[in-house]
Amino acid sequence: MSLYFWKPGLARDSDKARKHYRDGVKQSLQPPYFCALAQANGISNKELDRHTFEKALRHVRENNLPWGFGTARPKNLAELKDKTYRYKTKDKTYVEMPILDDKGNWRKVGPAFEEEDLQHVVLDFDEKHSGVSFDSSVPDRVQLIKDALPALQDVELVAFYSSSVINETPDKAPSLNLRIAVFFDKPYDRETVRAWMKSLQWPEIEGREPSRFLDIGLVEMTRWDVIANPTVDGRTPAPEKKLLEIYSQAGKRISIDRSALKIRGAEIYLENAKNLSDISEPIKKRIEHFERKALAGSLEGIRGVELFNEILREVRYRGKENARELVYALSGSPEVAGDKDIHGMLEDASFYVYKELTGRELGGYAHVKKNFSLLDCAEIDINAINFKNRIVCVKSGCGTNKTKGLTKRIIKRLIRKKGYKTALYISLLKATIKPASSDISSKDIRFVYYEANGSDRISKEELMRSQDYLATTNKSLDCLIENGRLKPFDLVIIDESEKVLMDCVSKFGEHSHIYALCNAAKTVVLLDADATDDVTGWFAKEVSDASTDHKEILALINGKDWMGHPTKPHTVYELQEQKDYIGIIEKGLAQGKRIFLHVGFKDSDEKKRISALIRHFSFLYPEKQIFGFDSESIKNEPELRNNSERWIDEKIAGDGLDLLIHSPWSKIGWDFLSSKEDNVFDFSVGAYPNKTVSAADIAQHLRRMRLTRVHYVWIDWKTTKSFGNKDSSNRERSLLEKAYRENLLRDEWGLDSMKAQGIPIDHSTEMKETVRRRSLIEKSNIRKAFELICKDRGAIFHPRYTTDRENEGITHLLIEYGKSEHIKEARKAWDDRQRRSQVLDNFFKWKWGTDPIYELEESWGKTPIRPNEEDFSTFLDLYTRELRASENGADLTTLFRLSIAGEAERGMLQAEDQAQGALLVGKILDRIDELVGQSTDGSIKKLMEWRESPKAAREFHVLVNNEDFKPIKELCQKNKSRIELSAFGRIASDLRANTTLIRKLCEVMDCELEDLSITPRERTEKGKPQANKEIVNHYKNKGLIDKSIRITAAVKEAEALLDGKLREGIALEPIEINFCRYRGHFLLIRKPYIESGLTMNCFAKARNHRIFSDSKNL
Amino acid sequence: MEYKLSDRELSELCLFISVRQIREVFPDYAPSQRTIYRRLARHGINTPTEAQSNFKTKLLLAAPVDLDDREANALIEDHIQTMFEELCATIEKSADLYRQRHA
Repeated sequence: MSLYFWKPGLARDSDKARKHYRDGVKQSLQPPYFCALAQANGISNKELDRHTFEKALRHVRENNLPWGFGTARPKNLAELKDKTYRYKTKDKTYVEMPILDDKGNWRKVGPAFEEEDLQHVVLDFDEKHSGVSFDSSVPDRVQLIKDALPALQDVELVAFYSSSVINETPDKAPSLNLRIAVFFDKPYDRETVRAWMKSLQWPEIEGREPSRFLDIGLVEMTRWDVIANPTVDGRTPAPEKKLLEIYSQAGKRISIDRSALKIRGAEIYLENAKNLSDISEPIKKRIEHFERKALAGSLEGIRGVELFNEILREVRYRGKENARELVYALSGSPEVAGDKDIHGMLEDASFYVYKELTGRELGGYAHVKKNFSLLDCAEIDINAINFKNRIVCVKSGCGTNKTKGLTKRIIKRLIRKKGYKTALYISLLKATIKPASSDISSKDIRFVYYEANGSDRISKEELMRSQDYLATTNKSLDCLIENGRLKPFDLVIIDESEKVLMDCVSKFGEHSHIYALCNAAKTVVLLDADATDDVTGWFAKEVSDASTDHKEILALINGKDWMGHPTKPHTVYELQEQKDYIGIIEKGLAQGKRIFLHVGFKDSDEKKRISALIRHFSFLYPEKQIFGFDSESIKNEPELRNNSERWIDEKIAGDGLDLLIHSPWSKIGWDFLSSKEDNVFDFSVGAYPNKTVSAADIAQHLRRMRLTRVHYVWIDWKTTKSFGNKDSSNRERSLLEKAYRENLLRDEWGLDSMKAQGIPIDHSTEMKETVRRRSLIEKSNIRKAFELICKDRGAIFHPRYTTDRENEGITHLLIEYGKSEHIKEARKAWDDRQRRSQVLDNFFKWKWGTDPIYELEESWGKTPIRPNEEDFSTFLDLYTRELRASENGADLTTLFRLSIAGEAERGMLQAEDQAQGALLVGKILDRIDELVGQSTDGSIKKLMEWRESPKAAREFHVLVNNEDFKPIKELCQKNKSRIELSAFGRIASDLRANTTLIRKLCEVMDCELEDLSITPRERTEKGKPQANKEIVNHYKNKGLIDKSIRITAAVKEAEALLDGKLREGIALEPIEINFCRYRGHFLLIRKPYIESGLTMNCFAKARNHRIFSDSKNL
Repeated sequence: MEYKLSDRELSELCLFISVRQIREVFPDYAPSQRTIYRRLARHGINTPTEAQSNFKTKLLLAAPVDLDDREANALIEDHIQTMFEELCATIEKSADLYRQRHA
């Protein structure tokens, strides 16, 4: 039960359950107050819903009863006898006080109640709100709250006035005076409910703290909701009409995701950590893995680094709040945690990720740093700043008038007063440059657009070399070269510097042009809303260091942003699922809102996603005006691109404009700000299903509609299609880990180590590396980076917002991932008869019987699979196997051909350009065959031949050690660039683990590989000496080894015996297998059952090919 | 009348040097950059830089297996330089012959 009716036990105490007003002023009750509560009734959790709650409330108010609603059961008086509690006195000392006094009254303190989980909770809204008037009804006030608290949209609730409402007068600014009871899907503990209430974020209104709007006190065990009618001037009036106004709303019940909440107190987590049932399965596995490592002693000396890396990965991948589960689970295992401060590591890792995702703060390299807080850069007093001989880095948010308000004034000042003769403006997009060139021009300083005379190279070169004031893209800088020299400019301005510098590395030589131009200039201005020290700051430092006149770096950093406007802040809702972005648009269109949808995909692929979205919304709302443009289709509407205000205003004035969809073409250099007040987009929605757009770009894109202050954004973290039984979250995890590893590798092998060794590095290489690293980090966790950017700019951020939209009817619009997408693809291939036969053609069936043509003796024969012979599930399996083989990038037929070919034939294949790097790949295959040959009796000469031979054993063991792998590894490493280009490119891409190459090769060959090597845990349970003893004793008992031989010599003999057995293909006994597992990598290679399975057909194809090519040569 | 580079010569030259460099090395024989691009495109070479890197890749793959990447690259650079010099000499020779014919 979570709803109890608390009522005073004695009639004299009935007033203690009411609020008191005297002369319109609320009288406070001095705690602690005594109240003898009668044993309370209540409503059981099963029966508690909005109907029973409303009924109880009406009953109390209509009958003027002195009752309150509590959330815990008061204990029996007998239970409380002689019980005490700690009371804090005025001089801040504690005294033990009895709960019951001698008259049978008791104190409303924690120990007097019995703790219970909550099925409902009452939210108390008492603060003043500008949207409330004296006449506002309960539904009006509820609507105000629902607008600000999306979590309360469409949930089951009962809303009613608090008793203070009787004090409202038309001339007084009224408070909300509202209570809302909400119901949960199941009972939750008080701590979880409290955390949920805290997670409800309320926008700051009229400069007041958001937390003040919602009083979360009613969740406390000792608090009761005083719902009884109040006393006014000492008498209890008849029930007020207003107090009987109750609003009840049907809807779903609230489900609290505990893992998403910030729950107070480490103890709770520690309890959970001890209770393994609360820890998710993947985390449990990881803890077990660490425990194994710890027991094996492999954490010694590296415990701190290992644990920190694990936590860092978790924070990077799932965010800080979700990483707590792992942290508490780790700290709950003393073997793993040791003496390390795991919680401290979480804080460090979070700080590291925050710094990494948002980039290092601009200004670290600056000689002079100026911070200002202005929404308009035109207010900066530039006369007080010295720009001459300086590199100026400006970081200021979108729409803060950087171009007109700051850049134009700097240009004017330097040219008119400091005698500068030439100026160059560089930006990323043509679309930005054209309007910007006129924005920064003044009467005597006219910037020329670089394609003004035509876009062909000769006209561009002619124009660009002759102009003193030029606006160009970074891509055309080489047109400035005349007689092998770049034309210098006194002033160089790089707009969107972060993106320009990151884009520069894509074209050979471009970065050196920018570098040279900046070196030669007297002043360089770098402007970007997201400038970081990683790219812009670093570039400024490089230029400053290289310039002969020692340019100083000046950083101008604007701390203000429109998103964090003091009275009109922006609100960003992070949508939870893909369907939600369609749901929110449907809802908005139904309410007649005007919406801007920005998406991370284009319309030109076969799925035509933007067109499909337009069709969907037009079908639902035929009267609505919906338009969508990507970078191609916008060419047909140049007006929208060049003069957005006119185009949109005209549309709105005409038939109207309800939804405008844009692909990333408009993310920078385009905006809409109408002079007409009503022409505003009510909210923007973003949908980003892939990693092509960075978080900074998404944050830029949602600001294109300058006056829109509410934004909904869905960003997916599942970015790559996976197939087969691979878990999508694992897939994502491995991608992140790959990115992370690359970072580590960079430190190990990259520039830092080169620098340490004193190897000279040219500027372009370093820049390329810096940019590569930055873009890698940017894409490692777009969702989190986006959240950090929004919060950094002062927006109110609501995570995990969801709508009640279901997938029904919109599945074709959603981008699917993982298994479902894979099955869909396989189904498509199955329906396409040509593709079906193509897949089936790669496999064949083994059949026992007489050869029909040559009438030879009965043997295994290959039978092709007819298209209608197999069902879809078999086809799905074959399709997956084929895909898995090709995922490793190897053309199987080529590999087979190379494997069976001799040296001369391989040379011929290479010369004929049929197989890239044929000789090299052939050599690797030979070495692998040698390796396999060592462990077998010689029947398996070629791994590929074994795979295709029906007579060969189905499985065999390979025993190899690291030394055996060394020649293969060396060969691959020495010829890395050739191998990357060859058929072995992806197979040999990862050589860190010795067995990876063979594992991948087996995948290509459609075989299974099982690594039977001993695990660290097993090693701790039974060490090598023990295994040695076992095998020696075993052989001695069998009489295979002389009993008098000492153990070391005996082990050598045993090893020799085993090697012989392996070579001869004699089946090993369990004790022998166990011993082999200690000797190195003990691998079991197995092919599918030939009796029932279908197998790949490449060998036959390869042989046929050889016959054909031989006959051709003849 | 001055000797002009043939399509074949241009296609071979673009495997070793960039279009701009062709103009710089043979200022008298080479047509304008725009014409060079047009003539190369006629023979399927739309992006000379790509053709150049493909050529190098092909050479790298054909390098003897007993050489490692670094040695192979050094050998290729050597070969390319020799081939380029030979080609330049051939072009100069053809130009001389041309001049003699039209003297």
